[in-house]
Amino acid sequence: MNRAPIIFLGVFFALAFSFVGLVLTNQITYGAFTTHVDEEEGKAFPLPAPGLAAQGKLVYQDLGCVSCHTQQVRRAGFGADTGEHSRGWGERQSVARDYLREERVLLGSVRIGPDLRNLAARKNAEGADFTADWLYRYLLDPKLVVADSDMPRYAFLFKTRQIVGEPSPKALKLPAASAPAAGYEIVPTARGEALVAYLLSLKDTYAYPETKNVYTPPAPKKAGEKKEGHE
Amino acid sequence: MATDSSHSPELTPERSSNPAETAGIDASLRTPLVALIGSALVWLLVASVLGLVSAWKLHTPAFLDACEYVTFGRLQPAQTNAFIYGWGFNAAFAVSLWLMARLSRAALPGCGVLLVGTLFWNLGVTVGIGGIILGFSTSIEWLEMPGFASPLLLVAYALIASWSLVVFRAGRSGQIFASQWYLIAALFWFPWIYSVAQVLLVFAPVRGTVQSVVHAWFSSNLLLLWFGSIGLAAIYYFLPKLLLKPVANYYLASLAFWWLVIFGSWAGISTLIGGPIPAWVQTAGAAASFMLVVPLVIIGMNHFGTLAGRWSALKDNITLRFVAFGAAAFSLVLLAWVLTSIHGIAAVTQFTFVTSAQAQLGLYGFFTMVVFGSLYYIVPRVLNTAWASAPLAGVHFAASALGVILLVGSLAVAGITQGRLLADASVPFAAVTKATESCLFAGTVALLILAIGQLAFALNFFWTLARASACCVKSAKGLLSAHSEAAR
Amino acid sequence: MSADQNKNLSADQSGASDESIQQVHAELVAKKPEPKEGFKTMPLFLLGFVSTMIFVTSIYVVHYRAGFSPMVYDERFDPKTAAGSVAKELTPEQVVAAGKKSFQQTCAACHQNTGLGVPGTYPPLAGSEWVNGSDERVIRILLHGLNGAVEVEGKTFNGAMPAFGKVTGGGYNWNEEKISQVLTYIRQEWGNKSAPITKDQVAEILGKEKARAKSWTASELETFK
Repeated sequence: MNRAPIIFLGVFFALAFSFVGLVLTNQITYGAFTTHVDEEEGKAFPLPAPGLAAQGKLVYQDLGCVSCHTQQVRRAGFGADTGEHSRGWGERQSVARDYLREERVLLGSVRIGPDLRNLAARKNAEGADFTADWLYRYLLDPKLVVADSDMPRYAFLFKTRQIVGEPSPKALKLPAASAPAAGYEIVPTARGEALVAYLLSLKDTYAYPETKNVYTPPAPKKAGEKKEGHE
Repeated sequence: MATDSSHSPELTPERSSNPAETAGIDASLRTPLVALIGSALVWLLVASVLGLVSAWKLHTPAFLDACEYVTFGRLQPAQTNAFIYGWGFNAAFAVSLWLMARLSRAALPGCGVLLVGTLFWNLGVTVGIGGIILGFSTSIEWLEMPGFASPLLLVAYALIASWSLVVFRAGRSGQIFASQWYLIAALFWFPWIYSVAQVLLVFAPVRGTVQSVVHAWFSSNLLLLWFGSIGLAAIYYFLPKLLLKPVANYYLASLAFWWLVIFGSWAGISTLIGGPIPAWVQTAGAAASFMLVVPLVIIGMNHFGTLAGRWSALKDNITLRFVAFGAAAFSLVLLAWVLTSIHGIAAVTQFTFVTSAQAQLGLYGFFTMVVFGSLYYIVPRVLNTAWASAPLAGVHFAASALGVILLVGSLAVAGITQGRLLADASVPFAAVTKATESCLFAGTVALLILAIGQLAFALNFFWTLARASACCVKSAKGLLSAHSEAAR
Repeated sequence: MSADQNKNLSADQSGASDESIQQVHAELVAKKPEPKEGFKTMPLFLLGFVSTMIFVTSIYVVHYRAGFSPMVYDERFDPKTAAGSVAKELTPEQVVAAGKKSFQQTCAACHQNTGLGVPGTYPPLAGSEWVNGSDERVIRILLHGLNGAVEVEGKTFNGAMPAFGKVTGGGYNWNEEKISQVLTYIRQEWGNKSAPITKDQVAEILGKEKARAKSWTASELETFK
């Protein structure tokens, strides 16, 4: 350990070891995955996101939603993400192919807010599907919809404007207490619309071949059949 | 071979060897270190303000939520990036430069390159933080600074790190001490992990969750093999220096170094347990994390073996107090890393505030505290002036120690509560966040206490700097004559 | 000793010299301390500890390696042992769930999620005698489609149902398993309580009607009541 060249070489190989073993190996094995073509439906999964949803993803990134929300469903039995007695955040564990088309994978690292991976495929707290309407109201003021919510308001994704002629079809329907003054309506800005379109595109419902590789515990042996050939 | 007595060979005090040479080395580092430490402290205070606001928003979400530029999702990354790249890196450069110069026993041949590097680095961080606030964040944790800031940082790093290597090559140290292994490793590693991360995540992103693997690899390397290495280098240096006692069981230190280096870079994957990456990768990450127990034990033996029997020295020496605190925190960081990689525990602690607690323990409890201790030793020698205020130093230590314990503790408790409730599907989500509110408030209080300590330190530093400049201006002979004053 | 010595806040060089730090530590490594009572156990304990860690971790890696396959995301799953049961049978609940998904994606467009259909055009499935009746008839409807007026629960409906099976002129090309899943679903939903339909039954009908290239009419299906 007295020679600097030995230390340099050792340090280089140590990092090279993890770089090759982790980064390169994974890039070669599953970084090269392609979409899965479903013969019956004639589509390649994962489906590409519609244009507005792709813009919405950029809004999601720039507002830093990943600071509070994750987008990964862990396997059944690991926490309460999916499976029996779970929060129903997904039908199955998220697999690598679900993120294939994403230019920036935002798995998230902390759940100050719930997981969003399957937002469009699950029910909200009232048991209904998430709709654009519900999401707009939630973003404008979360407490309108979920009384105890800890999420800040995103009122800057909306604008209050005077009603000219007919009220806009995009105007939010709000209860009297939060409704704007008479003659005014609240509509989402382009960013707000894009963000909601993105959120409504979040569903990982396709069953890729690898989603079948799930561990099933061996069936418990019944008392009478304990020893084979006993009968 | 004459057997040594039961005492290990003694370390000779500085005074009796070559004080003029050491003073010369310190003097040559004065300008770059003042620039680095000054900017580091400014960033520390900026990060504290950002941190206080975002911590307040965690339990009172309505606070300032009308302004898009300070929404939590932008403020929180701005704070972590300001802390890591603004404070952490400037401080790391300062400490590693000084350590490298001292251990190589070579004065800095010139500081223009370093000053340009420091300027570029701070420029890059400013541009990056500005970019995050304005909405150009990449949303990748600890790499949120937009793509137009990272080349600035890499250029700045090249300038600064190359100068450290210049110093090392100019040195005459025949025997390379443990601190130098860690410094060489850190200086060599960072540009590699950072450029790989930037290329594979921002500029030419790899497909799908390979990004998550690269990201986890980068984050653990940043924490363990950059900040960890520089912190350990400082601890390995200051313990024998100030206790005048060689490091206990030093012959094991190289084993710990290689073990940490080899397994530490795999251990980051343990944050992805249960995630959408192949199961064997998750297992490899968890296994590497378990292996961190070995350096935990050996480094613990090194540090606490050296401190054993000398605990009374902590009373009189502020550097030792900070460094010992940091050493204890490092052991806890590794222990927490091992524990949170176990499946049963990860099922509860993953995605909770426990991960924030771990990050704070590593970045603040270990790295920042060790750097504070190092700076308390470095600054007077580089400026050739004693610290302006002893009470401020005392306030700094008390506030920092208390703040760290409160912060890490409250986040850990919040995280465990959150994890337990999250794992119980019958608890509605809103109730989970409600349950953590009081602990998060305690965390905000802790941040306030830490900020008080930081203010005390910054005040002390700039006061000392003012005194040192006044002293130099007063003295007609300038810098060199200051040495003779100290030698008196 | 000035008051500044307290807490080591002064600039004097009171610590150990850098030269001696390096020299002494290099010596320590070169000649390890003489074995004493304490020292002999140290390296051995460490050797034992390190070996145990390597052993335990290796067992962990081997146990949870999941075949080192990039297609496995559950670490408890072993591709080798599961290779035998490649085409796993779905449980009855899974069959119904799969049928429900297909129904909601496609059939609900006309027959509605409630199974009540649209008066005059799309017949209801809830309580329908066609759904709960003969297997042969309902399988044929799904395979080849249904055209023209049809009477369900006393009311007349006149829509056009496309062919869903892998038949000539069919645009959906659903396989037998999918058809059997949808049929099983509708036969147990909305109060219907009829027996599930297996994919073998569907395959049998498909074989029998190989030549057919157009959709059924209600009168043609009378024979299969």
